Amino acid sequence: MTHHDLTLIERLAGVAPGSPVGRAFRARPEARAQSERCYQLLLFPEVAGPVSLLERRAVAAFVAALQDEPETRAHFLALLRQTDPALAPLARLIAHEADGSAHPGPYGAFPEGPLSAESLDGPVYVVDDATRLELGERLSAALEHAHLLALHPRDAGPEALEALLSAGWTRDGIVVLTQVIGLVSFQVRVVAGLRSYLAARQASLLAAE
Amino acid sequence: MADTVLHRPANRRPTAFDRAPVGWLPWLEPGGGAGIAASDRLFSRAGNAHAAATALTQAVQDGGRAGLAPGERALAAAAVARRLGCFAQTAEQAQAAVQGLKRPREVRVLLEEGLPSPLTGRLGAIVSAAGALSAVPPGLTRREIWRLEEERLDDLEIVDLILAAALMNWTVRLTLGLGEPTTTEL
Repeated sequence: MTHHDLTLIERLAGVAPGSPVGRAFRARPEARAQSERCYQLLLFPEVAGPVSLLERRAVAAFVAALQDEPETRAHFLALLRQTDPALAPLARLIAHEADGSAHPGPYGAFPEGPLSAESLDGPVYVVDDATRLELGERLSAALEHAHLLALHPRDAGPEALEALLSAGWTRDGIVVLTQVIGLVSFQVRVVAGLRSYLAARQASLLAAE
Repeated sequence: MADTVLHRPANRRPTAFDRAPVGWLPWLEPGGGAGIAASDRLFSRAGNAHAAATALTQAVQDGGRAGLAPGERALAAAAVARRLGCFAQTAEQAQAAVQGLKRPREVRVLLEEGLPSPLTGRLGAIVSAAGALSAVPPGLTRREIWRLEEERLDDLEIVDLILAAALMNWTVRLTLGLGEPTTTEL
């Protein structure tokens, strides 16, 4: 990555390099570069290992599509389609599943005690039988897990990992899967935060004129 | 047996948020590595992405001159971890926030009351923005941005706040997704 290249975050957030916010982001060169490196390592791995490129990008697209941040959603769905032109129907299916299961978050249960009152009910996503046939057991289990960690992570338990192992996931695969879910959860928030700040900044500049 | 789930029926989990140290027990065998924390051993199973994520964490928590103070970044991270329901990360970040800010009373208010927070002023603006960035869908409303501007946070401080809150959304999903907190085994 050269100095003049924009990182994914800058592209999706619409941060121009010479703008005040762009300069502030570049005043954090290590955070900027390592964010991009994490993205490259998880979504463009030299060796896919226990999680295929298709699986990494399908899960990333699903997590992004659950968040209602249009640029990030469009980017990760496009990345999935670019993996193989034959994957366009899969990308449509992923978007459809995300739209059908999106819900405001975070929610989930707290342990019995002083926090019980803060427990918040919400849906548990289960892939239906017809979709499961199309996606296969492995990817279906991965999307169910991604929904859990994206929207109600405090409901995660060892039984969620049992479900992944039963669907054919390995330990190392589960860790990669969790890292992909985490990365997209991070990126979408930097993009959404910067975009909303840029919009508010623009509005107050206009109001001051 | 690497590919089996470790269940912890005898573990005692925390039931309230506190800044006293909370341990973490992995649900998958983390593999070898003397002197390295179980979480780092397990998270490294994803290959070199974990090393990059660790460098990112270092940079976001204390990297760079000016900008948001380390104690304020930790407070933002604590607000995220608390909202998502992660006892281990909340404890660690709350302790770092107290060390950095020397404001134990305000940190205790965050731990006990959560979000929306009764905290006012600069710290109140920081935790409410961090909470909004932890929501699904994430984003800052005009109200949160107005509070940050009222408290005179500049562009660099707001970038630092966004990075700190966003990154804890990643870290919490690893911590909650791959193991459980414990008060018995530290």
